[in-house]
Amino acid sequence: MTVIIDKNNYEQWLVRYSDGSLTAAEREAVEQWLEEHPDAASEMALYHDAPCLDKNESEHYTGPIPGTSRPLWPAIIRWSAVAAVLVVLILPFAFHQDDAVMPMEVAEVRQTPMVHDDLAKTQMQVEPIVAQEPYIAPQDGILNVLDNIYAEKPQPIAQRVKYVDNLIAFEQDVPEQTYDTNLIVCDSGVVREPELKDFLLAFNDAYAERSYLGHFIGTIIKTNQ
Amino acid sequence: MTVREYKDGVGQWADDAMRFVVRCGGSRADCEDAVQEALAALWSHRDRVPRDKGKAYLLSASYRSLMQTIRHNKVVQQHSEDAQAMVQTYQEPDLMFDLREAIERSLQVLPPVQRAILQLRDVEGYSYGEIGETLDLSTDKVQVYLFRARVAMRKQLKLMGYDSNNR
Repeated sequence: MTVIIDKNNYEQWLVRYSDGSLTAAEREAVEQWLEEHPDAASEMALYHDAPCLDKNESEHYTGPIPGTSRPLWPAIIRWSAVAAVLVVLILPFAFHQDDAVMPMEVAEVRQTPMVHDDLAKTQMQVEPIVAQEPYIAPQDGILNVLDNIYAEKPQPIAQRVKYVDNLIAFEQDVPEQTYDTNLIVCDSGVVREPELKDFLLAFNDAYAERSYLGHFIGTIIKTNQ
Repeated sequence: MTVREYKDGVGQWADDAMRFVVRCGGSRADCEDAVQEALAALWSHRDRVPRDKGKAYLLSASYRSLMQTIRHNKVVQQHSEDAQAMVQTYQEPDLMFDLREAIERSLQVLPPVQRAILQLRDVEGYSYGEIGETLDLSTDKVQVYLFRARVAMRKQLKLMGYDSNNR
């Protein structure tokens, strides 16, 4: 094979020569040509002396990558599923938080119950339960109240029930003869302990349609009779 | 190329393409745009691009996109003139830059195609054939441009005070 090296193609010959991809005959021809052309030989020296580029690790592409982003709705579904699982896991604990009982120093006595006149009269005869009275935190729902009331070892009712919320709808359900025993004085009524379960169930049923889990807000008092 | 192959490869290739086009010149914003366009092109043509050609396709598309931008903005000439003037300012033997910076500056005087070839050869380790395929050049042209690029870069380094003794 005849090797023709000239000013038009010598560069690629020199590159191949540097890479070692030439045959022995071609290498000899290139070396001979370089001896005859000192300018090209000096260029060859520069070529060999040039540094190689290194990888610039500081450069990163920070823009978006098409095709790798996910649509929004699967993310919503995924997070909804996570939330549902969390709710299922946490819900039982939310209704059985005995640790949430906090002390309350003084129980409040309502002086103006908005129920029957007889009940209103009895309010002046009761004594408030004071000191070291825990109350059930508002997050404890009505189910927890019932659990506490009908436990095997019932505690004083004052330690179990403190709040009844918005009982105005149950004024007519309050029995008239409830003033002779432990009473619960609410914002708008008085409930005797034996009727407490029915009272609370009625309360719950009335608000069930509104998905309302009301809290028991009120004050427990004892009568002198 | 499947969607999974695309997603597996494209994260790494995007950085490679970014490094490649940054070396080829242009502002960072132009380079980001070029890579983004290339990624979009690869995504839309993924069915026709085999996985082993994905990176070359991305580099090639990024390069073409950048060159289009550079031509449009006439940045090439401006960069070349600025870099040339900067290099010629430092004729003193004092080394004004460290070697890495000097190399980067010496690259700026090269035509973009020569910069691209140096990057693909030195950093990406491509063969002459692959470089030619990426840049749409013949193998002979690639070798010629590579030779000229190395010689020109070495001359510029000498002008900046770097010879083979102080590197």
